[in-house]
Amino acid sequence: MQYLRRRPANPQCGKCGVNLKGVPRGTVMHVRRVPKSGRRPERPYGGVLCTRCMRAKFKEQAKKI
Amino acid sequence: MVLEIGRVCVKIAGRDAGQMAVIVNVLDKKTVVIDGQVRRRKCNITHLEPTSKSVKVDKDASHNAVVSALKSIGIEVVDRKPRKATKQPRKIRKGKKVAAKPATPVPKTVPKAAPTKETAKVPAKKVETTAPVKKQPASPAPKQ
Repeated sequence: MQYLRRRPANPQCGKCGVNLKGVPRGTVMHVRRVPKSGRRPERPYGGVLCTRCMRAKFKEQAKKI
Repeated sequence: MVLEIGRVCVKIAGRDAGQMAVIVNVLDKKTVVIDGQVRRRKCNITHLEPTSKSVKVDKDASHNAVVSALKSIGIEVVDRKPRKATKQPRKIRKGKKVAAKPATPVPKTVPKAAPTKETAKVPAKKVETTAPVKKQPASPAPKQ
């Protein structure tokens, strides 16, 4: 008999809380096997904020310029 | 139109998000060509946020012209040099045997030494010693 470790919860946006896409959901052992470019989206705030929140953040910054 | 040639924008999508760009050409209603801190490329206007600033650049202006124009309004552009291709050492598997080359090359023709009388006799002696052993009869059955 083999017991499997419970997977951690799905990563969520730090601002609105929506589930993030493009971020693997697995134990540390499984995630470590994935290359770094596969662990999060290749953009600023990738794996931290969703695209909506990221765009809103940069839009606010653009208005101040 | 807000998005005209020379308008300074912020890219809000993709890996260049958050970087400043200047519109160099307007292709149609929804696509423009941008350059500046971002890579020079065609871009959808939904991926751009215009700012209040604009610079004077010609249509299809070169990258250097855009960089100097951005510098005049206090925006620095750092050009990244292309990465040089480096040869990575190949990993050798543990189980795989690698044929090592000999340090000193072995000469192909080795001069044969003339057979001496002593060496010629050695195999003959061995035959004599082994022959009687083979001829020995099987162990006799015990007599009752």
